[in-house]
Amino acid sequence: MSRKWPILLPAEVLERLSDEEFWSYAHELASPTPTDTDTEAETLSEEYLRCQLRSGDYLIPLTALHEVMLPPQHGREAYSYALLPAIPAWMVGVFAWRGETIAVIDLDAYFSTIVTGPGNDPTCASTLLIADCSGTPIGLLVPTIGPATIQSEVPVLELQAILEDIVQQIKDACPHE
Amino acid sequence: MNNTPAPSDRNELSDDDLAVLRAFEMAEELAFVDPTIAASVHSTNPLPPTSFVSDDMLVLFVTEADGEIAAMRQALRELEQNAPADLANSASLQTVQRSAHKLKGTAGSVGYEHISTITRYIEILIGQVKSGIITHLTGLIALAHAIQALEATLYSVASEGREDSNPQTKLEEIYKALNVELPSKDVVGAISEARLSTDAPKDVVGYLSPRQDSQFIEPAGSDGAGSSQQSLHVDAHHLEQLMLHIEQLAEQRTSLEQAQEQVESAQQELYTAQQRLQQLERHLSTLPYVLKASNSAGYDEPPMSSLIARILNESLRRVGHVYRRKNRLRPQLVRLQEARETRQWDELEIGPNTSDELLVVSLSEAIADVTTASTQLRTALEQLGHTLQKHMAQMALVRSDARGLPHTHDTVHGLLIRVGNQFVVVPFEHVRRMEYEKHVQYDPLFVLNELLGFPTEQVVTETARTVLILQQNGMAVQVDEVVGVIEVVIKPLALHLQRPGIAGTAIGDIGEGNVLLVLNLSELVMRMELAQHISTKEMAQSNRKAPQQRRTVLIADDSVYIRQSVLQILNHAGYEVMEACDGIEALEQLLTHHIDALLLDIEMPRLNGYDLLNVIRVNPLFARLKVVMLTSRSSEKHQRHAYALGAHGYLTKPCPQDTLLTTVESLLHATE
Repeated sequence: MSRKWPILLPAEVLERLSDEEFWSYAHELASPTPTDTDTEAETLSEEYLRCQLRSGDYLIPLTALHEVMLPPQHGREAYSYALLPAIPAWMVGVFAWRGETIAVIDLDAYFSTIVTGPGNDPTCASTLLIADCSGTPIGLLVPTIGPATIQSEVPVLELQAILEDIVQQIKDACPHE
Repeated sequence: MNNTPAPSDRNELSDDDLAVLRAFEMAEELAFVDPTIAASVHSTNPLPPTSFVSDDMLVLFVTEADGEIAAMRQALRELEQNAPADLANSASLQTVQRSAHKLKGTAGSVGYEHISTITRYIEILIGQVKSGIITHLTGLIALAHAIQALEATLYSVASEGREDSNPQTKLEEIYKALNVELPSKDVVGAISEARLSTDAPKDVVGYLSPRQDSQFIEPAGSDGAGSSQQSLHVDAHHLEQLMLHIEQLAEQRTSLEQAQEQVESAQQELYTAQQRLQQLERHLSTLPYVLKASNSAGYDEPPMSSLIARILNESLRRVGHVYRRKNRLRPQLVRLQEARETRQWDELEIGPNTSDELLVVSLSEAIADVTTASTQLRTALEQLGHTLQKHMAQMALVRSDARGLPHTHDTVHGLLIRVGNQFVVVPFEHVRRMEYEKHVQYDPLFVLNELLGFPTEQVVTETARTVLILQQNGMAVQVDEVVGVIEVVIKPLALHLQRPGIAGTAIGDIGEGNVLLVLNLSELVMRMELAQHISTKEMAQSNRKAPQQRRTVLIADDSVYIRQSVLQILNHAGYEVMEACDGIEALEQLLTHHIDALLLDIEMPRLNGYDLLNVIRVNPLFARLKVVMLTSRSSEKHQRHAYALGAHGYLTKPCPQDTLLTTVESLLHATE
């Protein structure tokens, strides 16, 4: 099992947490080492983040995420994300996360026919999820996230398969490379 | 499928139209070798010979070769990045081997010897890595250099239409420096054949580099720990080698400067001697017995006797072409050189009537001085040439060493450039100069947005235009704005983010977490030129004529070049030709069309030639189908296997045109 980084939830998400959820979350953050016992892992694996996309709501397992953060500020001088030649239409560019250059994906565009297009900020995206694909961090821009609770009627994303597909498509988008 | 249009009625055409038609026919004949002529004149040449490669075929070859090289580079990057413990059996190494083998076959068919040779080197290198004769690191470095050489050679093919031999020469020098031994062509053929068969004999493998057998009996990849230690050792050695080469380079600087000083000194002496000679010549010209050859030859000045002319001419000849090239010849010498055919030497010019002995003695001394100075200059120039050659070779070694070292986290000084709303870094080492003159015409002028494929929003303003002139090839690249200079730490991109022309990324100061792409402009330009070349030729290719209905031959080969060359040959010989790029597609074609003969490659994706042969053999639908293997596998074992599976013929690539035609014709004739 790969190392789990502390998950940082934005303020709007924290506001929606119940007291019990909030203190549980605070306890987890205060823990000096990543959870590694079976019980804790099991508990964590049952927690999800709800993403509201145009195509519907989905749950993302928290264990698949490194971090939940606000997207970088859109400065006027420079585009928030650096463009890369020959990338899929749903990839908005690359971004420096913890000193590493990672791909940033408009998850809404990936799931739908809406094309954000490289070089266009998905202004509706309020949250940047840093997900892990077999050791490769990938940024996922999502419009809205909801409380991290389990709702049976909301489908759970097979995030690992999706991320692998994303990586493969980014790789294949460059001819001969 | 290709069809040739039915010939039109020439009686309906005017004389002008007929002339145009004849011109087109002649052009078409030049672009293609008539198989009947080829059979008689070039009966042993592979198909089609290089000198007759048409633009269409060249485009196909370049496109295909570019794809194979890119596949090799990609696989090599994966190897470098992932460093698999079992390198010898890794899928990426297999990919490199497969692509090299395919490209070797295609290049051999088209007659590009250097590409074919370099791909052979790649095959043999992989063999050496697999058998542990060279270390993994050395193998990877050698492969990287080979791929670079392939790219450079292919670039020369695409841009000039012919192979440049320099990349292969440089590659061989690098291999010498790396102590990588490459066997002769015959041995390589045997080895590559053996490599691809599962039962490769040990003795053939051992032949690769007998001197190191005792050191590497077991494959290096068999022991992970040992492999790691070995790599570290080689890396340190590599660094040592680089340091040594740099020291040697520094030492050469002194000798280079000395050689330059010698040349300058010799030039000065020659000039002084020539001055003296000229002075004497003026004295001589006043004497009655001196003939003024310059006047008789129609030259106004300076006055000069044929004796002087001969002396100066001789000195010119001695100094040689290097001196001329540098444009340091005095005007008289140049004119004399041009006029030497018109002048005659006559000993009587100074003859026994000389009254001023002193003048004669001085003249003799001056002649001796000029001769000596000329000789000195020639020697100094030769010395300078040798020293420069050594210097260049040493530079190549240092560059080679430096490329082989890990280059993560390098510091780069460069220009911070704005491209639309993006910022990128172009290292100083790639830029010769910047120009701002908007009226200067550049041919060609590349635009950075287009090179990167970014949205183009800028137009050339009325006031200014910033153009970078590249260091490597002098190409011009227009940018939106040069913001300033910057020093950044460059990091390599993750494998899935790597792109041609992007050397890596750096974290910039503009905005939080902003990534700056660090560009390799020369590579971007080279790729764009290649793409433009291919695009132009493809447009011309789209105007091909539609073929007629004829007897049908299916060519199944994953090499598009092989398919196209065979298609053209058979097409012109009166056959209808269909293509399949793999076994599955070939089977589909066989099931849906009436095929008379099948030309079948062995190594193909999805379904290989042997498997397809098996299917054909058991299916009664294909009872009348004639199958000819067309493959680069030349061993008897493969031939026996193919015949055992029901093949009717076996041809090895590169195959002479007449052999191909004769084989197909005889098989189809037998069925009639």
